[in-house]
Amino acid sequence: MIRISAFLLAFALLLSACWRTKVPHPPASGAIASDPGGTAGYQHGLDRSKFTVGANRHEVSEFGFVKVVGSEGTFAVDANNGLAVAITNANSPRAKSTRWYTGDSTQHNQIVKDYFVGAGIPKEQVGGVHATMSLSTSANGEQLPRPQPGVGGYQSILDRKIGEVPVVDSVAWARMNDAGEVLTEWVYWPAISAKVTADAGRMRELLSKDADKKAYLVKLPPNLPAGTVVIRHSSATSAQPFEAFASYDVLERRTSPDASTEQGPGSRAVLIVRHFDINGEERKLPQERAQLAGDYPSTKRQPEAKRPQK
Amino acid sequence: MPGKVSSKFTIVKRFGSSVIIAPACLTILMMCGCGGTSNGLVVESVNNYSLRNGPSLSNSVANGDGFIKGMTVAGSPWSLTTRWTDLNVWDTDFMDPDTRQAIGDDGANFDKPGTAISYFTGHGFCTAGCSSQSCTTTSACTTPNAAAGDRLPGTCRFSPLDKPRCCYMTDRMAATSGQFDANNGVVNYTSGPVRWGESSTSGGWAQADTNGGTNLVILDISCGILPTFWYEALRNAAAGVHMIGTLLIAGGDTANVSDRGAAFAKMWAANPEGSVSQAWLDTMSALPLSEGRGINGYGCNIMVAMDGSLQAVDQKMNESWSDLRNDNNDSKGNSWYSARWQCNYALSATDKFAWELP
Repeated sequence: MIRISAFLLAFALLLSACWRTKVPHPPASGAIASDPGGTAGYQHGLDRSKFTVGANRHEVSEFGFVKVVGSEGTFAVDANNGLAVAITNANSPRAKSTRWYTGDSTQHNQIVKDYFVGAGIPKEQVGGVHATMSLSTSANGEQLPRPQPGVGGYQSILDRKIGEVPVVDSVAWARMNDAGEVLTEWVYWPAISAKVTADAGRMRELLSKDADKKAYLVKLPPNLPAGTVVIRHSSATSAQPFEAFASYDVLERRTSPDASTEQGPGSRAVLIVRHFDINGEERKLPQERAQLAGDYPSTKRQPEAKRPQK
Repeated sequence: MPGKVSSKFTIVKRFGSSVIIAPACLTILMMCGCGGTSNGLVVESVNNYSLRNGPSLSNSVANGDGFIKGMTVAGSPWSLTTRWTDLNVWDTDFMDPDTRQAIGDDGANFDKPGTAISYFTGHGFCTAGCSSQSCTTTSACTTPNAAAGDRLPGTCRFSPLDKPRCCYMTDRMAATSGQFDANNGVVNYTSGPVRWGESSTSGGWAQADTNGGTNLVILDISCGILPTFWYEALRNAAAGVHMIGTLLIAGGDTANVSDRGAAFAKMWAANPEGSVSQAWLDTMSALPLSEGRGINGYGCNIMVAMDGSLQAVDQKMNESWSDLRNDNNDSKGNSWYSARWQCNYALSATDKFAWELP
């Protein structure tokens, strides 16, 4: 009995600690200022979002996000880098619908672009709008002919540019329904410093002149295909300190150097995006450097023991 | 600049201790009322293909580790049980010794009991099964090249890059380059000794005992599925697992990007009540355009659920992340399927078919 009482007391104290927890507020929408000469970013917030969190609205801070949570879904802002993500709950009728948008992708692109520009993404920074398409099907596996997948709707993605230079890792996308409501969105549009913006301009200029281009390319590894000047920055998923740089991005195709090592069926090749800064130095983005130390568990069972004894 | 961004979040640091307490309370409360849950993470990542099945990759380990980091933030209900990389990833990790071929050790690795999510990132084989025979209907595709490993059924397949032509069913396979590979680094999940998710709650209907347990498999590889064989490609491996997510290629190949896994994890962290299947699909839209949204060319993120009834597969496709941990949801069969895709291109308004002329 005493043990039960002690447990209940501990449980009550724990609950009271939960209730006293103070939760930070997610930020409001607005421009993210840069240094002088740089390029402003955009912070997305629930105040300008067309996402509905539903009833029982409350604020929570968990898993690195500050959130507004409701019966229909959650609007969350990454406390580290400002990434804004809104996601409908799986059990919401809106999430379970297999057809939520009946227009075409071009119409959806325009609606989403207007929405984000209206919310505060600078129009001159919108480099393009592209749609991804959602489809679904269900059937018995023996059913022939197989039922054709049906289109449920689209996601429209805004790509970013500063001047004529693409800012590859900035993304704003949304999935909207026929009622103009946002079902899911993801916005990461950080400010870009004056140095990075200027470096990108200098790289474009440098690569437009034959002599300068030759002098630059000789600093790179040999036999690379032609590249493109872009601005790269930390991914929305990175928890590392923010990095951005002007880059000459090259898409390199690699095949196995020795065809005899290509065992197994079919041949393989890989395409790898390599980044070179204004000095010709190869760079890796924080998300490309992410690596944990050591395997886990630290030792693996030897194959003799792994083999089935049958 | 980020300084400005982070200044908006200084309040998080100010209330740091409270922020830590809240998720801890939530986790304890959840643990009080539940049983039969799996929360383990198994991640196997291969960059180094120096032994076989090359060329080597550069982003798989960062990709797998990004997933781990994102899923194991403070207060997370998930726990890492296995991380193997490079030469420590063996083809036997994925194979079930209780199948007829009696090879493998998946119960200690990729399909370890108590696992919620098993994530492999590395190479896949892209044998397409396509002929040069042009077509206007699938019923015309009846002559597979058996010598090349093709077999029926056929499909009159097209893509943004290819005019309609007859293609046939071929096995789908992941590739390893392990120090102790037993099958040349070939993991044939279409017809090989692979069964995932068999458990005491799923039952032993897949004839692979009940000693597995993963609830979600992600195959972040080349050509995980080719259209339109989503059911045929995965039925063999679906032995209790709730869902299998991978990439479907429609002209081109999977890009070996560093942050697909991390983007998937962010979806969970942002809303644990969100849909797992939708989260995998939405990682596509979160990736940079210049890297094809994770695909060089045209293709889709795909999630497939299998179970014994239409109602059951629809339930799985709508699972939240907490539903995913519930072993009572393990599949009791694989005769029905539900599949969802998100593709990096859109059909024109007049197109009625996605990948196949029926």
